[in-house]
Amino acid sequence: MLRCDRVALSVPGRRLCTALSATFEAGEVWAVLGRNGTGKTTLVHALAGLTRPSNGAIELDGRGVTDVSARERARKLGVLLQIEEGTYWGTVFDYVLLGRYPHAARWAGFGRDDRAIARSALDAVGMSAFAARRYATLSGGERQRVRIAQILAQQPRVLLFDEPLQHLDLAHQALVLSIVAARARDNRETAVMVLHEPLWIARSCTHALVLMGDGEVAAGAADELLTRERLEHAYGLKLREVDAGDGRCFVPAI
Amino acid sequence: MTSLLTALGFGSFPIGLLEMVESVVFPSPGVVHDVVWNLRAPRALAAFACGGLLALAGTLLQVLLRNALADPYILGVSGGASLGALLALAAGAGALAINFSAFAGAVAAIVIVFGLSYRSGDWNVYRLLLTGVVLSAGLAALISLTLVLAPEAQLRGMLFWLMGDLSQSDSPLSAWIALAALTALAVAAALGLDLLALGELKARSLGVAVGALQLAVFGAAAIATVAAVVLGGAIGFIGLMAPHAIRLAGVTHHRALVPLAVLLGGSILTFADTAARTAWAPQQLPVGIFTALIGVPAMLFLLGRQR
Repeated sequence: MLRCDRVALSVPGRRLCTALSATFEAGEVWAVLGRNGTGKTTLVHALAGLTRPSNGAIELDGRGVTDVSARERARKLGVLLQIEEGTYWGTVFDYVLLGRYPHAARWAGFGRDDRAIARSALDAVGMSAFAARRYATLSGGERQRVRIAQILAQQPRVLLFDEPLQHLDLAHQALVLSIVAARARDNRETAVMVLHEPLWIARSCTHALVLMGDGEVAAGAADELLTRERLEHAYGLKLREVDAGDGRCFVPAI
Repeated sequence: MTSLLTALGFGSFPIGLLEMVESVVFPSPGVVHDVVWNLRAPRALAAFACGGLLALAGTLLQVLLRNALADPYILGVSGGASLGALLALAAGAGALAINFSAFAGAVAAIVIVFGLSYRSGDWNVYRLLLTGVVLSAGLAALISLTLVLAPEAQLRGMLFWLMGDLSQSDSPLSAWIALAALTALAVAAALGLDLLALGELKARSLGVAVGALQLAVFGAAAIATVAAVVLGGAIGFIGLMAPHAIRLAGVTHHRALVPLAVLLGGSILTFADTAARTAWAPQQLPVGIFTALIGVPAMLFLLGRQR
């Protein structure tokens, strides 16, 4: 469980949100929405304990998220970064296996269990056939799926995804969202995803957090929060609400 | 697998060749023992330790700075050591004073770079890299100045020092201890290094204590470089090339990459030093010339094969 108490976020020269309070409970799937540059990534980094908020407290299972050691935190909380700076020269399988780092014996390296978990994580995103390929030779979408597999192999209780659907085709967007939904439902994991696709938001998330861009934040259950008016205000764009059969989705009214 | 075996074979080969060549070149039975054990062996050991330390420092700094062009001298260590040694040489000091002066110069350079780039826990590898490069440039100017102003008689010794020269190196024992200890530590922290190469945030998100690891890597690389520079002067190219050669051979895990790079670096320098002693015998050449002469074609071959 992840909890924000009056969190303020800012980047140099800009206040992103002033007093965000929200509790991300087990079994919930959260969408983080907002225009470019409204602080979605900054929020994810703060939730992941990678940066400190300028004010307020973020707690992971009752303890300050930056007070826990990096290793212990990585066992409970996994984060898919939007951008990875480094290049990886090893194989796809070895890349996924790195997700087992917080669980592996520190000096001895990875055991048989770790390898089995990494293999099944690759399988879940449909990348088993690529296990022996070099990570650097993959396409953008394939790389994204492997990156998601790494987080799955990490087996955290809280999953933070910064734009999990980037580079993915429609079929794999559906696959990733169904994996997340299944883990939240069956394993009682918490998922927080930065999403841009109005096609999926209302159908695949139980809760939403909308950064309005002026320091205001709306957070709550998806049914109540995701109204056409609020989204139009958040994106500055006319929208049309469409009934997708199993829920609502929004399309731009152009 | 093949690359691993080739690298291992390559690691032990030069020493066997060395002894073989020596028994051929110096056939007189009474002397051969003395020559091999009292003259050649310590020097070969010094060369191997020096090359290994340089390769280790290069590997670590390429991870720390996430820059493929990083080599042990990028942080100004060789500049500091060279300036120290050159000033001692210009003053006509003995071998011990020269070594001490080089050591002091190297440590001073490291302390300056570290002090300027590490401010109250805020560690930025780009600032570290740039500080090192800028300081190196400043030291290079001072080295040129020393060379221009130095007395004629000392110039030759100075040039040898700058190109890297193992003929002045005495007991390699401390270098071997440093090499063994640092290599063991680097192998033990290999998984952390793999992750650090992916970026600081990524490493932190997967549970690496990034700040502590970066400090340790910087410290280890600095110690290795200083030990190598005091032993053999500013020998170029090995620290840059050895890790890349191993990477090009397909080894990416630091658990294997670190020891293989150390073996390769040690082997190349042992080989190059043998060549430097024998190619123009009895005239001895600076070993730095040969590391590049051997290394450049080998590296170009590996790069060409990669496609």
